[in-house]
Amino acid sequence: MLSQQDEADLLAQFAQGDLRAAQALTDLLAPRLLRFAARMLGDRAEAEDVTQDTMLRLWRMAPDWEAGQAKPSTWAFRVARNLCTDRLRRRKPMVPEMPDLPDDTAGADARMMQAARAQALDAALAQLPDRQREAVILRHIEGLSNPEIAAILMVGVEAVESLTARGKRKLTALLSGRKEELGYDAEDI
Amino acid sequence: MTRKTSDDDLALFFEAGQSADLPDALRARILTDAAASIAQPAAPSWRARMKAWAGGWAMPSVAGGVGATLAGVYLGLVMPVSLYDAPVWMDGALGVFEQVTAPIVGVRDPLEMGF
Repeated sequence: MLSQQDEADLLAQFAQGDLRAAQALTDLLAPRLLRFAARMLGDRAEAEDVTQDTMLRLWRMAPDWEAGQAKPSTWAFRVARNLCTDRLRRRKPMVPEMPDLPDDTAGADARMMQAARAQALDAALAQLPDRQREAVILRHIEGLSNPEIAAILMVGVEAVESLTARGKRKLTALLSGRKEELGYDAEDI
Repeated sequence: MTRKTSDDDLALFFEAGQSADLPDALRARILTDAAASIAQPAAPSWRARMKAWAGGWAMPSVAGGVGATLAGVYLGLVMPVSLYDAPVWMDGALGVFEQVTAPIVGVRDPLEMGF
């Protein structure tokens, strides 16, 4: 994961016309934004639209980006979150689709198992309240820090800690019965 | 006994949820947008727009200031001078001034009014 300065440098290079910087930022941010949006919206096509729209806004904002602002990735997650919220307000909640998970190196069985695990996780995440889901995804899947999540969700760091803790408790309860079925060892507790 | 999923197990689930790749088509669309953004002249920032707006007002402001100063000098210093002491150009200027003011305030000749 790049530092704030690294990300800002890439954005500055892009603003000066360096398309390789755009490629690096795309490879860095777009997969994470896509995963986040897919889990928030439960719709792959809409998640792709949100990802493209977020990146487009990043490109347009690049010339005005000032050093010392939040990380570009934090800014992008906030934009993506707002776009997802707008879309969710316009429709009823849906059960999330499973994102496609191509993995050429793993065998078919392993791929299926990995897909089943991710699907179980998505189904469990879909049952969390919106803010808990956002906090858990950003913290535990996208690996953002609590202050970054606080900036994205526009709440305090303590609120983020509380949201992730409650979200994890509920996820634990939801996934407890599926561990063995999904190939995880049964040696526990 | 109630079976629970430990934090480690949750971490495995989270790991499984991290493996989505970026479809090539979407990546291509994003990079096309990026190339288009580079190709287009960037929209001026709000600071640049403010600077242009202020710059746009600078010239009319200077011209207005100079005009107001000249008018003040003319009305405050030149006009009170006796018509007979004034240069010819000033006589002409007073004539123009009279043409404008007479219909409005009824003053035809400041000298006749006793100024």
